[in-house]
Amino acid sequence: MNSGAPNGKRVGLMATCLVDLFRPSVGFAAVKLLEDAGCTVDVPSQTCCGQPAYNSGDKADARALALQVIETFEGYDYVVAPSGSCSGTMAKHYPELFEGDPELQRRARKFSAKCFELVSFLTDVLGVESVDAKFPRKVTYHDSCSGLREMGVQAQPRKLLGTVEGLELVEMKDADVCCGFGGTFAVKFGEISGQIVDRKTQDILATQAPVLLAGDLGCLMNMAGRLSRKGRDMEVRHVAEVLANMTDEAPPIGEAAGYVAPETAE
Amino acid sequence: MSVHANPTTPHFKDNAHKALHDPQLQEAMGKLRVGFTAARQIAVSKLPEFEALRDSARDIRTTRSPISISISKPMRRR
Repeated sequence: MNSGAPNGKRVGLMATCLVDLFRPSVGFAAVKLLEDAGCTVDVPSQTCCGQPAYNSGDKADARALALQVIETFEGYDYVVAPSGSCSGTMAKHYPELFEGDPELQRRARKFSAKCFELVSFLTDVLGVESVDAKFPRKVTYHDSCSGLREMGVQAQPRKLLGTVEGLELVEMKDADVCCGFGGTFAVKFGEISGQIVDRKTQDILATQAPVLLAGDLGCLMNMAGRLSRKGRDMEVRHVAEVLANMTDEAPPIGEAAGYVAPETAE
Repeated sequence: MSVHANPTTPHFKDNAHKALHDPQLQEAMGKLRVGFTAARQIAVSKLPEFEALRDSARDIRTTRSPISISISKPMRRR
């Protein structure tokens, strides 16, 4: 449990496009987790981090977006995103966008050094050991590619999930294998993406856990969509909603308001 | 079909569609999951420094200035 005593750290929350447009509950959960850990959180007016442009090779647009993100957020001590891929873009790829402009590149490097993924920021930077949350369900957890491979997020969510009262984590086979989303990959190569997410859903369903968690909304929406099209009743959520004890505030991804989990229904 | 005579990139989606519906290819690819992915994982788990080795290999590859590594001799001996 966290004291909530101020730690003097000013955090700018990069809410991310998908959270802003599809799943604001993740943003509110992120704010609660950061404030419970003692941070002062600000959510400045913001846009995309530039990831889709960067991944599509549109360096000019990616650079323009990166520059305004840097301008918006560089005054904070830390920039935190509830996403491995958006934080990965800011932390790992911004400096290379400014090749050939030493001054901007220096500024980008300085900025990148304070960008973090939410859950690993809580544990690795703030030293959070446990959360004040209750979720008496079996859950399985998918490791999203960018968070895992670019930001080293793997043990941290499992550590904090282990402190959620009543929660039991059932590991799926190949938890660290791509779900087939891959950002624009799913759009460009839908058929291959569909095949990959089919394999992923088989591994998810084999755990028999009724709840699927992950740290990236793109992957979550991809998996939730496939599960729903296969007619599988599964509760899919961002890990921050569980850690912040805010699962009552929004139905699972893709479900209507008033959703009641089948196994908890009276 | 020669890859060089007929670049396949413009037909990637069509080719992917055909490949995904080719039972023989899918069976062979399915075996890779056990024969390659799983076997690789077993090999990796015997080498705790695997990820560190990959990182240093990447650093060697991406270093612009040529660097000498003393790997040629022991390899020749083998």
